[in-house]
Amino acid sequence: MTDWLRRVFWFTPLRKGLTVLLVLAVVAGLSYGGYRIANPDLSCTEGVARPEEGAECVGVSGDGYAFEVPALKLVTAAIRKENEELKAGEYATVAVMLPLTSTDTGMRTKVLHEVQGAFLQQYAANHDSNEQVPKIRLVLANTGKGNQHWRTTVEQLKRMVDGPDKLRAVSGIATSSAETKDAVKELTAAGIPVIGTTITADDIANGPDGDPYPGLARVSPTNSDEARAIADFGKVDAKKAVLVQDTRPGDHYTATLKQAFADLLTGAPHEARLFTSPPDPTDEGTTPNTFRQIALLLCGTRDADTVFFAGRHTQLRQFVNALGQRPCVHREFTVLTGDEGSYLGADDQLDETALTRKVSVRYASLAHPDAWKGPGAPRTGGSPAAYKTFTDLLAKAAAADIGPIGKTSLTDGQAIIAYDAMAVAVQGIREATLASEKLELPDIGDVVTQWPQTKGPLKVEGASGWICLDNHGNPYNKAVPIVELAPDGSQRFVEIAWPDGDPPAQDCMPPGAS
Amino acid sequence: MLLVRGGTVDRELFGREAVLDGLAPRLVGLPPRGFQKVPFEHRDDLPAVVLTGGRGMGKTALLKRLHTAYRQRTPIALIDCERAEFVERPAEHALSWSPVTEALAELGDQLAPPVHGAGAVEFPRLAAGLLAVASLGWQPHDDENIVAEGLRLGLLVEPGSRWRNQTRTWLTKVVAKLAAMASGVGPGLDVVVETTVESLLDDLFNRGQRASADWYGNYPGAGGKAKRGLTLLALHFRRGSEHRVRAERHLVGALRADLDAAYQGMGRLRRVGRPVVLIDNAQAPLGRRLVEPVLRDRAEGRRDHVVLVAALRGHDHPALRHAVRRTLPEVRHELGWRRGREIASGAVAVELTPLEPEHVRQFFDLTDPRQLTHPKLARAVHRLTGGRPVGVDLLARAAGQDPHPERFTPASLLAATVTLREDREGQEVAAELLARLVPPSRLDWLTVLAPAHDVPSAEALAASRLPGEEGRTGLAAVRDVRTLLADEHWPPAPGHFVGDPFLRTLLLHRLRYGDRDFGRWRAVHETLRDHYRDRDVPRRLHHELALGVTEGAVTYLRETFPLADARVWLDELRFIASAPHFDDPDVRRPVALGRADASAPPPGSDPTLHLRIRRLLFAVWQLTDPLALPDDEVTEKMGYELGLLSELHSSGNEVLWQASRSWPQAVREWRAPAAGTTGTRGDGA
Repeated sequence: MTDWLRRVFWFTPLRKGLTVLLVLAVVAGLSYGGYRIANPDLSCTEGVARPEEGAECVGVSGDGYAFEVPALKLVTAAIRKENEELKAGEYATVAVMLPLTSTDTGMRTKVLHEVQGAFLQQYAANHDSNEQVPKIRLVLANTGKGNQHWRTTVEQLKRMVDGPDKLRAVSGIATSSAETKDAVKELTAAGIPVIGTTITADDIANGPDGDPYPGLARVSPTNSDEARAIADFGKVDAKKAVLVQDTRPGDHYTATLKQAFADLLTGAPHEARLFTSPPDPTDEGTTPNTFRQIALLLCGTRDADTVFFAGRHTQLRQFVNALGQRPCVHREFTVLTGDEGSYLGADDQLDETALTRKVSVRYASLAHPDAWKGPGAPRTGGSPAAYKTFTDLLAKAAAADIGPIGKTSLTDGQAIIAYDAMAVAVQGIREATLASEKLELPDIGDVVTQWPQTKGPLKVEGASGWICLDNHGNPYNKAVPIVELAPDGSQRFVEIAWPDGDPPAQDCMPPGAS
Repeated sequence: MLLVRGGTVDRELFGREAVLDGLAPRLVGLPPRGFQKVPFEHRDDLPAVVLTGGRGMGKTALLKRLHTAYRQRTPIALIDCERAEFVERPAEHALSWSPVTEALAELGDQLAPPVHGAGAVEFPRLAAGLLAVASLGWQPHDDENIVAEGLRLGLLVEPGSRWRNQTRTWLTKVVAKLAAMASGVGPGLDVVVETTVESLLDDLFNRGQRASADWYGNYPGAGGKAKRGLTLLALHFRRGSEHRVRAERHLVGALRADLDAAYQGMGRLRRVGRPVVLIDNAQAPLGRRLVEPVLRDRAEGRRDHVVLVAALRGHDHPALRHAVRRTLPEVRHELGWRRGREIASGAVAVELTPLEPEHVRQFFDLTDPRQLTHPKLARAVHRLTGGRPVGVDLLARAAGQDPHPERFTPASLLAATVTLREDREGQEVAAELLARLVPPSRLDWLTVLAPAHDVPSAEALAASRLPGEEGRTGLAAVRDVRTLLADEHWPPAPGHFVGDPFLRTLLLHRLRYGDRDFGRWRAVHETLRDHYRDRDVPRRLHHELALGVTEGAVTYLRETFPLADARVWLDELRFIASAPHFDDPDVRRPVALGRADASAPPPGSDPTLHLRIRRLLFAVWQLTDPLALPDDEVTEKMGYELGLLSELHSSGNEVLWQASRSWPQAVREWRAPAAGTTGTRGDGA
């Protein structure tokens, strides 16, 4: 045996040499293997890595990487194609920060639509804007499921301000949660302009009481604006309205909605009905029981016919289901709620028969495809022309020279909102750019200063309506499409409501901003 | 013959470890087994090892053993210079052929095959030289021969079918060229050679091989041009005498240069150890023509790393006068060789020594695994053969092949049959041994002359027993046989025409059993008895004893006992008792022990002394007979009788008393009793 080994591996100098090389190779391979086991390769693609083994890929990429989400493949490829046409130095980068790898079906759809909308605006900015400079490069920033890894991504975004990326704005910011709030705080503290798409929470906003997020602009109305619009739409008689509210702390969406509704119902005779959702509001929990009791209580009232619901969509669905089973089926109830109602249409567990039993669910939508379509649209506050520009672009995007960008749907309004948010970012960047022979990218601080200017003639004519920002970056009197959930799950456009009760004037100047 | 027995006993070395485990590994760089490395004893300058020894000393067996041991690990070749292929051919072939070219082609062929770790050895230089020489004999229109010869030599350059095809193509071209020249007046030989060489280098050889062939640029007179060198070499070869010697020396050099080249470059990385060339029967003229160029080149500083081991029959070849001499056991650990001024000092003559009794015992252990043979047989065989390996081997094998080995004495063992190969019938051991030790043409003469004591007695024998055979006189036969014995290095011994006791015993055995009625045996001994009738009484009595007539000897010894010097008397006793004995049944033991009454003492003599001397004579006869197993009782008896005789002698008391103690001791120790005036007479083992 040893003789055989010696003959094969050690007989001639050549074999000795080869054996030494072989041993070295094996040792190197084993050490590398060991090293890899001890230090696993967490990289997903350039700029994207897993925070730990087995975790999702978190980071920033504009090179067509789809973050292992199949639905995003087409649109990321389209973005890559668009980005690759840009030459270094002539573009500014806008990041779309979203929980791209979220496993929740609703969130996935929302994310896809947002990315599609953002891309359409990028394309429009680079091709249909009369050769304005700079060009816009779009990158996707993933904060992970539930925005768990926002800190990593935010740190990365901060590094991208300088250097070849020339990051000049961050859009996206789609949910109202504590992580989102922290992320926005961190970004804005670093001087990065942030344009929120579907955050509606009041406390992720600046206001007359202070600007905790310097440089934050929003294209969605605040919860309170929504609530005001809903109230205005409902012409609510406070005496016939009941507030059903979630008491789980830490949810800015429910908190602000609750606050707005409560303000409306000051002095109303009916006591607010409370429930507490589980820590993860997408869990079913025990709330159905609570809602069954609340439905009984509603039946017990003499004249209540309107319910203001301050809660997330899972609880909303449970509540609607419970209401469908109410004993007093002869009485009509209208449930009014915030934009979470838009998720209800896609919810399998919704008891659709409830909607046929004199229960209607109406809610403030952020955008709706039918809002700016018909001839009956208001003359100010938005325009069918701007909307048509968007839908035309969308139609073109299915073709190969732009897209394809995947399956699209406008019903949930996310694409429209993301498109508009991106438009705000693009306008901000371009307005901050000095008009000169030689292109100089604007200082990131100059972009921030553009937000208060976005009004009047500089208002953004978005597909969801005009976007005129007040001095705190919030949209002034933004059109709020009220939609009703149809029994078939579709969202039927009811009408546009306005936080101020009426469409803005032609100049679209927030009061006191003149 | 020795050791190579169906491959089962590869590990048994029987006294040859000194070469296999000592000398050879230190020269080759590899152990006889396994793939370790052994440090070289000599770095750059190697001695040529010449194993010396008489017939049957195991030289061939040792070479074969080396060949088996190193095969497949290092390039190795073994040729026998006495093989029929290497015998000088008639003149018509001699132009382009010599035993050396034949042997070189054969060596190249054997050395070429791939070994572990390395590919085939290529011999472009040797092939070029041999092709150039071979072309001397190429006649136009002799296509078949040219192609056959060319292919054979061409394969030395690079074995493989691809090369075979290329060579064939090239040969076709050469044949065409030769044919073209043949029109009109036939081309001169120099033209044929030149054309062949030119075509060989330009058409067949690739660049690397051409570079190798540049080696011939060093040929005297070539002026650095390989083509010129090769042509000159071929033409010198044709001229013969010292020109041919020079050409052959270069061809041998080409073989070594090719081998050395295989160990350069990549060979340095892929090859371990050194190539080995084994030359058997180097005493043949071819052997000298192969070894001498190596010694000359190395003495002149053209060194190479070929391990050359030659086997030479005899001890004192004139060419080895200045060789460094060692005996087998000495080379076990160190050769201690250093080149002297003489050319022959590049050789180390290693004398193969006879086997020790212990080795003989190992042979018997191997052939007689049941341990049935007489416990003293192995030692007796050693005494009989003198440790000559061929005798030990065949006798042990014969004992092992017999179903009843317990019956064997050395005498009966000689008559036993031994089967050497399964496809051959068994042979009588003695006959087989004689066939190996003596050329068949001289065997009959030697047989007749074996009992002779010296040249005059041999001549007397020849005169009466070998009259005019083959037109020669008997005297010529004696001269012939003496030459043979001297040539084959059989040691002479005083008092015996055939000095070697083993050979003599074998010949006597043949003399005795050569004919059914022992007529020749009787005639030969009677001739000698008559020859010595008046001149030398002990010799006459010696032959009488051989003829089975014992009373004369007893009477003579009894009569001389009181008067003669005790030492002389003891010598005469021993000499008379050294007579060959083949009678069956053997009565010596019973007579010696006084258990059989051969005949009554002659009247008028002292009967006690007569019987005592008879017992002593028979005891000594039996105990000193190499064909008999010594008997303890007889040994005791011999001492006893000698002791008693010592008291009866007037002046030799001391001598006889000493002999009564030392002779039994000597017999027990397997020595010849030696206490006389002249010491041994060369008849003991």
